[in-house]
Amino acid sequence: MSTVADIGWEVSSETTVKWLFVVPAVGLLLGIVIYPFLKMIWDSLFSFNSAGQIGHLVGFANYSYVLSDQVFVHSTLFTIGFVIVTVSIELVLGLGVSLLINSFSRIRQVLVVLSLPPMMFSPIVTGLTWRMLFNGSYGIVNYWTGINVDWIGHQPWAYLGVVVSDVWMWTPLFVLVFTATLHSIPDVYYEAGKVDGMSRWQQFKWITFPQLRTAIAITLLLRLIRAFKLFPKVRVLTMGGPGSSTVSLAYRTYQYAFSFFHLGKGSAAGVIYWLIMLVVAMLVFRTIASDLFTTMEG
Amino acid sequence: MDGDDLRSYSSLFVRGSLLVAAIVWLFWIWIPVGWDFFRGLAVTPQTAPPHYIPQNLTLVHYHKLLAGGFLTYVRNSTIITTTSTIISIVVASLAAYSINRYNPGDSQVMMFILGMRFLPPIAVVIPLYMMFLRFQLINSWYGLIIAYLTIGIPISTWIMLIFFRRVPVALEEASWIDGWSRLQTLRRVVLPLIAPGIASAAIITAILMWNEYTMALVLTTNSSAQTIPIYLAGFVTTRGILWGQMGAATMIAITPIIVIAFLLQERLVTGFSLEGSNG
Repeated sequence: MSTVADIGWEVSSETTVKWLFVVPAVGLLLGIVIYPFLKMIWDSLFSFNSAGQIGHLVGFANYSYVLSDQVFVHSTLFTIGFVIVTVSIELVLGLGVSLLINSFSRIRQVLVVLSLPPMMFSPIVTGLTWRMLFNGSYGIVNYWTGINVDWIGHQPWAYLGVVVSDVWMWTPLFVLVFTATLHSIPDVYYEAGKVDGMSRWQQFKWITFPQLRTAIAITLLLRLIRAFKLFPKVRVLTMGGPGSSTVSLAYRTYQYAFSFFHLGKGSAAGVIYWLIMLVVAMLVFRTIASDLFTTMEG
Repeated sequence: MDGDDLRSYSSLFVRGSLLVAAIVWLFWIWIPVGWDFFRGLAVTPQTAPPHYIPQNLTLVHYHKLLAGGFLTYVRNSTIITTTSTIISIVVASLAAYSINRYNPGDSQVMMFILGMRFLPPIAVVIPLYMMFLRFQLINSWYGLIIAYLTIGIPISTWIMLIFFRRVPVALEEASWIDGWSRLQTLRRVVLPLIAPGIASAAIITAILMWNEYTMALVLTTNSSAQTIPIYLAGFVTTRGILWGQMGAATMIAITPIIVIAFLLQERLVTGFSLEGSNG
C-alpha cells in the first residue's frame, strides 16, 4: 500500500518539522541579537549627540579614540589578567576540593549540595557581600586575620579582592562538574590499577585525569567566556577603583555609552570587546576541540 | 600486628585531616552567606570591632525594606523572569528537538544558537537600547523580557539538547507505526521522557535571569521595570550603604533560589553538571 505519494508526504513532513521548529529560535535571535549587532557595527562609524541621536559619519575616529584611551587599554589588560588568574585558581582549587569530596562516600552528595550556593547568587550579591566583609572598620576579613589593609581603596589589594570574590563564587561550578565526573568513573578501573601495582599518583595520572579531561576542557571554556563578562561584581565591589584600575572591558564600554553618552564610542568599544572575546574563544576552542578529538580516539 | 596498627592509625589520621579540610571548605562557602543573614537581623549591623553574630536581633530592616518599595522590584523580577523563561523554554525545546533529530543546516543552526553565548551582554545591549528607544520599550517589562531571550534561548537549547540525545528515536517510530500522529507522539511519548531536561533548563535559565544586572541597568531607569539586582546595586551607587537593609534585601533575593535548589537538588545538579561537562 505504500505509494510514492505516501513517501512524498513523509519526506515533506519531516522537512517541515525540521525547519518549522527552528524558525522561532533562529528568527528571534536574528531580530534581537544579529540585526542590532550589525547595526552597532554601522553605528560605530558615526558620532552621536548626548540625546542619543545619530550625527555624521566619522569613519574610524571612534575606534582610534577608544584604542588610544589609556583606561580602555588598561581595562583590556586588567580583564585578561583577571580571567587568567581567577580561572586558574578556580580550576586547581575546584579539582582539589572535588577529590576531597569524592573521598567521602556517605556524605558526598550532601557536601556537593552544600558547596553550590555562591554560584547561584547574582554577581551583585557577591560584590555587596564582599564589600562588607572587606570593610576596614566593620568587616571581618581584617579583624579575623589580624592584618590591616585597605582592600577597596589600594592596590594590589583591590585586585586581590576582586579575585577572591570571584573564586568564592565560581569554584563551586568546578566542584559540581568534577565531582559528578569523578563519581561516574567505574571502581573497576581503580581495582585494576591496584592489581597492576599503581601508586595513588599513578592512579590519578593514568585513570582519573584522562576521564576528567573533557570535563576540564568544557568547564574551562564556559568559565573563560563568563569571566570575560566581568562587570556587575566590580561595579558594586570596587566601583572600578581605586582610580580606574579595576574598570573591566565591559565596564569601560558601559561608561562610554551610558555614563559619557557617546554611543558611537560605546559601539566601537563594544565591537572591539566582542572581537577580543571571539579571538580568545576561538583559541581556547581550538585547543579543546583537538583535546576532545584525542579523548574520543583514545 | 604492628604494621596493621600503624596502618589503621595512619588511615584514621588521613580520614581526620580530610574531614577537617571538608569543614574548612564549607566554612569558606557559608561564612559570607551567614554574614548577610546576620546583617539583616542585627540591631546595629555595623560595629567596630565587628560581631559576626549580633548581640541583639531585630526584624526592623525587613520592615523598612518592604515599606520602602522593595516589593515593586520583587514583582518586576518575578514577572520578567517567569515570562521570559517560559518563552525561552517553548522556543528552545522546539529548536532542540529539531536539531537533535534532523540537525538542520548541517550543525550550522546549532552553532548559530549556541554561539550567542559568546557575545558579551554589554555589546548586545547597546544596540538593543537604541532599538528600544525607538519602540518605547525602555522602562517596560516587555523590553527586559525580550532582552532576556538573548540569554534564555541559547542556554536552554544547550541544556535540552543534551537531554534529548537520550531519547531513543525507536520509541517515536514505534508510536508512529501504532498510528499516532506526530503531535500525539510528542505529547505522550517524547514529552514525558524529556520533562526532566525541560525542568533543569527552566531552573537554570530562570536563575540566570533573576540574577541578571547589565541589561537591566541599561534598559531601565526607574522602578516601573527595575529588577532586584538593580535595587541591590543601588546600595552602593545611589542610595548609600545601609548594611541592615542590604543584608535583608540580599536574603530576599537569594531565598527563592536556595529553596528551588534544595527542592529540586537532583534536577539542578544534573543540569548544571551537564552544562559544564557534556555537549
